Amino acid sequence: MRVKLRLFATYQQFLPSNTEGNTIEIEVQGGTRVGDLMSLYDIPIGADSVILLNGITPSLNDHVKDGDVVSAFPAMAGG
Amino acid sequence: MDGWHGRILRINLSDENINIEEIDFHTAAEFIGGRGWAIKYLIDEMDPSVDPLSPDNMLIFATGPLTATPAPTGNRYMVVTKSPLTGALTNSNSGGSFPTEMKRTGFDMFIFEGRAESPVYLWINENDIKFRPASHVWGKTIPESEDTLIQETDPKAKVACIGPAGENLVKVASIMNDKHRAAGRSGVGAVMGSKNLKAVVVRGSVEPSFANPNKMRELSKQVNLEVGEDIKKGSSLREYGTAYVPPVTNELGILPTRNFQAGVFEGVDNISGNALKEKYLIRAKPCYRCPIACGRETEINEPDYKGAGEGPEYETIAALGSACGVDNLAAVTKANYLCNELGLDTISAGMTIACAMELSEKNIIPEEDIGFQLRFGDADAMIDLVQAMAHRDGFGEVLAEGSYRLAEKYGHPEYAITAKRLEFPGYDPRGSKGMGLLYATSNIGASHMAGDMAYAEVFGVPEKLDPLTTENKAALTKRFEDAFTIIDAAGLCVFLSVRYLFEPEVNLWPRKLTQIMNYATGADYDEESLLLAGERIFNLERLFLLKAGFTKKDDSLPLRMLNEPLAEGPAKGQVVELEEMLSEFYILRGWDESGVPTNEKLSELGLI
Repeated sequence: MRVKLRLFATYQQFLPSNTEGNTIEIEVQGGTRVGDLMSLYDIPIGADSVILLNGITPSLNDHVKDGDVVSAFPAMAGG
Repeated sequence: MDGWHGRILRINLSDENINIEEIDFHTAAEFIGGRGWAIKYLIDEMDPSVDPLSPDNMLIFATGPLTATPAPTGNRYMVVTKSPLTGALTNSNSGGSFPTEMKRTGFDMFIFEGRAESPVYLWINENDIKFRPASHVWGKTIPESEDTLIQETDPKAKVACIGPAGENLVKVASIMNDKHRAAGRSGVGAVMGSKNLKAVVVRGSVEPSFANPNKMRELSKQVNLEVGEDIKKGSSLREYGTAYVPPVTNELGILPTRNFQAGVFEGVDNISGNALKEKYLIRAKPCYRCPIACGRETEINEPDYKGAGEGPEYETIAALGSACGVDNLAAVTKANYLCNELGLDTISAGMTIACAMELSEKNIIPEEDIGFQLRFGDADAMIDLVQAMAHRDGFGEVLAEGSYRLAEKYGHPEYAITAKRLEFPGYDPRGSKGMGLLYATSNIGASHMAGDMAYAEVFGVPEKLDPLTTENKAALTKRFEDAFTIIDAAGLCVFLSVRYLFEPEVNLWPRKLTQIMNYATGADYDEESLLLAGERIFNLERLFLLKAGFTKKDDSLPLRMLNEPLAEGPAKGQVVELEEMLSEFYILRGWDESGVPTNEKLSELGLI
């Protein structure tokens, strides 16, 4: 199944270097969890990160499904 | 005194009387400084029912005990007055270099009263205070005025001034300092203009003393180092400015789009920090001695939008961009430059134009009133209307009154997305319920800077909360409001203070902030008494509001927020369930069911 990974602000550095924009679409196996995607791209988890699944805070154990958008950005406030 | 100078400069513009006053240590400490001192003086001396544009309104510039100190981001001041836009209190914050220089004049606070007979500026060079004619700069833009006034005074002087918008008593006019920094909200520029006060120029070398200079420097250095280490790992604010935010709020479905008709904007990628960095960024710009450097020095070379300056910030991009349906970053940036040059609040300017766009599309405003067909997405119209607003030109005359009076004039005040007539900033509260409570309860109207719940609901600071629930939001909103009050009053910037001077794990416990305040002032706060001081200031502001005629029914949000669910995005189907949060909030604040502080609460705070 295909899901999108969208990274914001300085987390864009974790996208493949030839990525244009802030979003990539990737093919993943059934059973893949949010946490697995974070590991795959070395994206930090924990208090310094905000991770969203379709704009809503997930558990890292939540399974992704076809068409989902997983996004992440550093927990930094300003604006 | 330490930290504070303990000296207040009072200037009567009507008779050119100058008075230097002292403040006693107890009062200084009880009200912290800045925003706190200002409300104390306002409520003690001024009738809250005065006409904000009359000579009877007091205009106060107030620094804090930590302004002009090595404390991290110790570089801010507040403009406090009664607002002509809202009829409520306002306090408007700004950084840059002016606040530090102002503190170095040897005064903590300036109080301006009365009205000059003709345009003047004040040249405050420590104890040498002069009234100088300003007719030759009246009508000039902010940058032109600043250059002229610095030439006439001192090459190292700093300037806070109004532009044509403030001079024209535009109700959303700002006071600009260091050319590009804004005390933006609630029409403070119009109050200054109503006094015929074009500018305040300051110069000084009077550094504040400290109760414990070694510990003061040590802790300041420690925090700055900590910030520096984090920035090395990657700083979104340094790299992108606050412009990194539009894709984030868009992802949560709360980016104001077409006057808050939606929270998801199809053009968001064109107006993001990435685009700004690629196309127009020259360099990051810090306020004086700030280690973050979130400011943007930018330049546009495209002939249609040619210009240079600082910004745009997130709020500007939301208000002049997505809220207006505009996804042309050059146009948004150009409009931002114009607001800065003319002295207009980018938030209220953009949101007022957005309101006009919706009213126009719904045929509520006839085309002949505007002079053309005004539609969302028309970037050039947006720019033209910014200029018209500043000069009260044509339809700009109506826009200059702000979105509430605009919508009310055409019989549909419900399309003005405001609280207490102050235009919403860039977070749709239907997808961030705590922000809804904040907008409704802030003492100045809808301002994210009154206690930014988005920190928690959007950005995960101190921790990521579910933005769509109402449970426990009242308690955190109160804590954020009190925390921001303390930061404002102390003279610091919220960006650094919330993360590094409070303990996030313990519900925003001001551990390091208390230490720094004590090392600077010797006032012997503990965390509880500092939080209580924040509460004291907040309640005094509330009393001012009540005396000015505001009631519980003004602790409200537009019908769109209460009754019109968002149609798409993660917050689809959501409205703001304000009542339940508000009742809980009143109880936590120690207010009765009408939102009036009880005698018990006022007694606890030492206010009766």
